[in-house]
Amino acid sequence: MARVVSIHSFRGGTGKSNITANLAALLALRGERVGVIDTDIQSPGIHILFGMDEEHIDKTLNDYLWGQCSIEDTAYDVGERLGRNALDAVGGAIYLIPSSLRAGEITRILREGYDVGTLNEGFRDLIRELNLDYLLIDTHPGLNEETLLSIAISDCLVIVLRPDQQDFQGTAVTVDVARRLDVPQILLVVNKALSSYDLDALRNQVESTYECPVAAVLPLSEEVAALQSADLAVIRLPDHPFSKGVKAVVQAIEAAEQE
Amino acid sequence: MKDFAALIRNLLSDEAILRDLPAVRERFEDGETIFERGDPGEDLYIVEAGQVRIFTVDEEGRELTLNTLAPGEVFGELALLDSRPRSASAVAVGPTVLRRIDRGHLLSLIRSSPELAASLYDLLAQRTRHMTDYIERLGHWARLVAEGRYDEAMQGLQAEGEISDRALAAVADAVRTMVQAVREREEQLRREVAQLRIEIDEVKRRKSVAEITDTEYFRDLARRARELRKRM
Repeated sequence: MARVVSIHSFRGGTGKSNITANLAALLALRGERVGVIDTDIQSPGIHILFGMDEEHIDKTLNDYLWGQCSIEDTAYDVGERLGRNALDAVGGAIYLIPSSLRAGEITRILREGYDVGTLNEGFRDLIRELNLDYLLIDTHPGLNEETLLSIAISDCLVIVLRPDQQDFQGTAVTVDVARRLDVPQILLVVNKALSSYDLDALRNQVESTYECPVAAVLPLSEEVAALQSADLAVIRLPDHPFSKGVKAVVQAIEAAEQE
Repeated sequence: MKDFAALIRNLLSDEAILRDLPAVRERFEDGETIFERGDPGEDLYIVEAGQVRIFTVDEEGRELTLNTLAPGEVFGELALLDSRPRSASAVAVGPTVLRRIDRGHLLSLIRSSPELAASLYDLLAQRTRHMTDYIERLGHWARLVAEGRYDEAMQGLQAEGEISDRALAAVADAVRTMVQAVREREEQLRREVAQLRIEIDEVKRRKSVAEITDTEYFRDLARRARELRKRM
C-alpha cells in the first residue's frame, strides 16, 4: 500500500518545495517509487528543482482538474536528475506532476475553483497507474479546502516552519487541525535556523510547545540557497547538514511505516 | 601631564649633566632584543638612532605593544628608581643606536645635586598621581561597561587615546577592543534569545482552528478521513 505524505507550511517561503523535492529524491534513491504532486497551484515552483523548464511541460495538474486529460498524462519522469543508473540499480523511480505555470491558467483555477473530489480521485489513480510506494504532496500554504483534503488523506504530515513568531502561531493551528483529522503521523521540520542558534535547545522548545516530534532542524545555508532554485542539495551536497537533516526526515517517515 | 620619559629626557638634555656621564654606545640590528621582561634592570637608555618597541606578552602569548620610541626618547627609566627586573621587553626596530647610562653613575650624580634630586621626586610624584587617576578612570569605565553604557565608555576611552601617554593609550585601546567584543557578543545573544522565544496566542489559535473546523466541509472531511486514507 502506498503512503501519502503531505508537506505543508502555514506561510510561503519556508523552503517547503525544496524540502519536498529533496525528500522525494532520497526516497527514490532508496528504491521507492515516488510521485511528487505540486498542488501549490497559485505559485508553482517545484519543477525547477528537478531541472524541468516551462517549455518541456505540456499537460499539468490544471488540465486534469478541468477534465482535459487523465492524471497519468500529467506525470513526468524526472529520474534523470538523480542519475538513471543509480535509480535503476535500486529499482527506484520518481515522477513529478507539475501545476501550470501559465498566468491565464493560474487565474482561471483561482477564479473558478475545482472539484476537490476530482483531486482526491487523481491522487488515487496516480498511485495505482504508476504503482507508487509514496505520493508526496507539495501543498499550498494556508488551510484551504484542497489543502485540508491533502492533509486528511495523508499517512504523514510534514509541517515546515521557520523559527519566527508568525510561523510558530500558524503551526499551532495546523497541528490542531491535523489532530482533528486523525493524521497518523505529524512531523515538524524547522528550516532556515541561523547557525548561531543552539539547535538542540530550539528542537526541544519546539517539541514541547507542540507536543510533536521534530524530525530535523535545518540550518539556513548560503550554499543550499545557491542551489535551491535549480538543483537538489541531497545530490549536490550530500554531506551538508541540510542534506543530513533531510535524511533524518526520511528515516522518521520510514520508521512510522514499519510500526 | 607630560609623560615621564619626556621629563627624564629634559633632565638629561642638559649638556653639562650628560658630559659627566660615561657614554656607552650600543648598536642593535633590526629585531634584536635589547632586554626581556624579567631581565635584571640596571640601566637607562636614550635612543640616538633607529626605533625601539616596548611590549609585554599576555598569558596566551599575544604581544601588547606599549610604546614605540624614536631618537631622543628615554626608556628603562623604572630601573633608575629600583634595580628590580624589567617590567617589559624591548626590541630594536631597524638598525638602532642606544646610549646606555649606568644606574650607579646616575645615582651618584643625583646625590651630588639637590636640584636634580628635587626634579626626580617631582617626576615620581607626578607619575604616581597620574597612575592613580588612570586607575580610577579604568574603574569608572568598568562600571559603565557593567551597566551596559557602552557608548559612554567608548567616548571616554576615545578621549584617553588622544591625550594620554602612549603606554596608557595602548591600554585604552585594548579596553576599547574588549568593550566592542563584549557588546557584539551581547547583541548577538539578544537577537538569538528574541527569536527563540515561542509565544502562542491561545485565544487566536482557538479562533483560527474554529474558523476551519466549524464548517460543514470540515466536519464531513473529518468523518471520512480514515476511510479516505484506507482507499488510497
